[in-house]
Amino acid sequence: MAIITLVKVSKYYTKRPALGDTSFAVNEGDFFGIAGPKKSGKSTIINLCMDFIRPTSGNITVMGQKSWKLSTEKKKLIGFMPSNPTYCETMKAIDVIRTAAKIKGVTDNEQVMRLCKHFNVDRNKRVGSLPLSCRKKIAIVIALMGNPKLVIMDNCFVALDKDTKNKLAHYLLDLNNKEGVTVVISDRNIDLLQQICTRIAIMRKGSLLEISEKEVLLKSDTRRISIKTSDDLSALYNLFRITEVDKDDNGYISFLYKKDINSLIGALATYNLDDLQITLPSLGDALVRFYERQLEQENGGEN
Amino acid sequence: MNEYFSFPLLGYKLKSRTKNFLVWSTISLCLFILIVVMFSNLLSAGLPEFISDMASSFPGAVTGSAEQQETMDFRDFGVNFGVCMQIMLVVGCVYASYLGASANTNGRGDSDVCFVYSLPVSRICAVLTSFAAQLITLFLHNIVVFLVSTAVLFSNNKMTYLSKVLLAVGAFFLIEIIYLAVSFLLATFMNSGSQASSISAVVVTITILFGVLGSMAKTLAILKIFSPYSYISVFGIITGESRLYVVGIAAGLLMTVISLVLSCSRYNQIDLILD
Repeated sequence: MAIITLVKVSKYYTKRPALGDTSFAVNEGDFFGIAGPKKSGKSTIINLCMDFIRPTSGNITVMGQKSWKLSTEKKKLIGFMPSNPTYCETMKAIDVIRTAAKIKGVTDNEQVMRLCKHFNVDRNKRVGSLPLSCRKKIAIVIALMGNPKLVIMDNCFVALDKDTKNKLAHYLLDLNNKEGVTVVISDRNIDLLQQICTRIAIMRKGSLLEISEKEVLLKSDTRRISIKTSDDLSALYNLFRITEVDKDDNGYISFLYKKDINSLIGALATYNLDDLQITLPSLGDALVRFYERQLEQENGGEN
Repeated sequence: MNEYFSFPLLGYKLKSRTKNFLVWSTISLCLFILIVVMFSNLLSAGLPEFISDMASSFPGAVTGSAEQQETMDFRDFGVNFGVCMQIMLVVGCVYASYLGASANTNGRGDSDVCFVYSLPVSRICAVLTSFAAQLITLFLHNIVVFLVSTAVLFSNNKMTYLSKVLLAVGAFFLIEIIYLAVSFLLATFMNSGSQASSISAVVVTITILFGVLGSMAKTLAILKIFSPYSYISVFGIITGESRLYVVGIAAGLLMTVISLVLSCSRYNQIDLILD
């Protein structure tokens, strides 16, 4: 059963759409990711679902009700974390959390304290003195307190330290796997979404490119080649027409390769290699391919 | 209860106004004391006649718009105090206007809309609770003005003016509610929380200017209804003439209710300002 449904939803602020004609559904129990760069429409979708903004056209249903008619009882079942949480600056973090708990009708104080301890919330510090990462921890506790049936997090992992990112990812996976909580998260870090989401929507410039199971996205004959060598590989790049090459801090050169792998290995045998890795491409690579295909279609259309 | 009002949310909104309230009250207090001290010093320097001459040289429209007599004897404590209270009315109106325009911010201009509206409260509940918080803050500000006025009266052995001051401050509050509600409605047309200061300045300036224009030209007399001084002559109350235009205030409160209803209706339809 669909817990969130968007049917032909669009949102225009100016002539250019913040969100084009978009339709999709998030089913109960999904761990749904919305991936895309800045200004791709991720936050617009989430703000529409949360009824912070109204669609220019189309319908949005959340938990069986229109998003702008969602009852307070249904809202109690939604845990939400905004992209840039701001609160009363003179209040302590714990006071903000307690206020939210009172309004949400959360009576289990122990659970709230456990969440605060788990995510290392600076409980007694005033919100005004906290950086974004700490305010996000407050937002995480507010979103996860009580027994939410639907958790929505915008720019989920942005500004969080590595430890908190891992804790949050594991907590959300536990909620989804053990309690069947539906989770909808958006983030720019596609590779991180790839690790935890079961379905991923890819956005670009306000358009929904594709929604797919993550395994399907990665099915292809493309491989990521990572090489460590002190030799000059320019001739190799020219031979196989490799144009986009990445270099990391560990001295590895990597590129995507789609042609006959035997030819490449044969050519690499003439070089003095320290290391060679051939791996499946990441979701980020898949996204780049989608963008390239989209661009080819756009250019084809113009021609 | 969460459909129309939320006490925990009210507590949160009041706390978010604390810093702002303290700053404004301190400014009001300092301004009031400065004005009172200034007049007292002028009195001892023997300049009340000079000031009276200067005041009488203002166009009649300016003094008329503030409902003041053309000739004022500044040797009289009541006259001094009355003028001070006139100025405090304007300060109060500016603060009320600012409170109305900044209702959906966390006090610094940053919008905490995402936090408030993601809670299980209806939009109308969030709007009405927000308005109530601003109203209470405004009331507390007037309490501060009253206490400072009482202290000034006490230090000058003029406690006979106390009942008049109480009436004047009560009337302040009724006028300021109108500014609060109108700015609250105008805020629904804002694009950004940082426009709150501009809205408050514009609203108060325009209403006072309309009052001046209305006094200057008989054909524009209708514009006087926009001036706060057309509802209450603070000067008249302090000096004993007790000019409080009940019909005008009743009309103003009706305008308040209409503004609030329209605000609720607008907030139910518009996109919220998220940054």
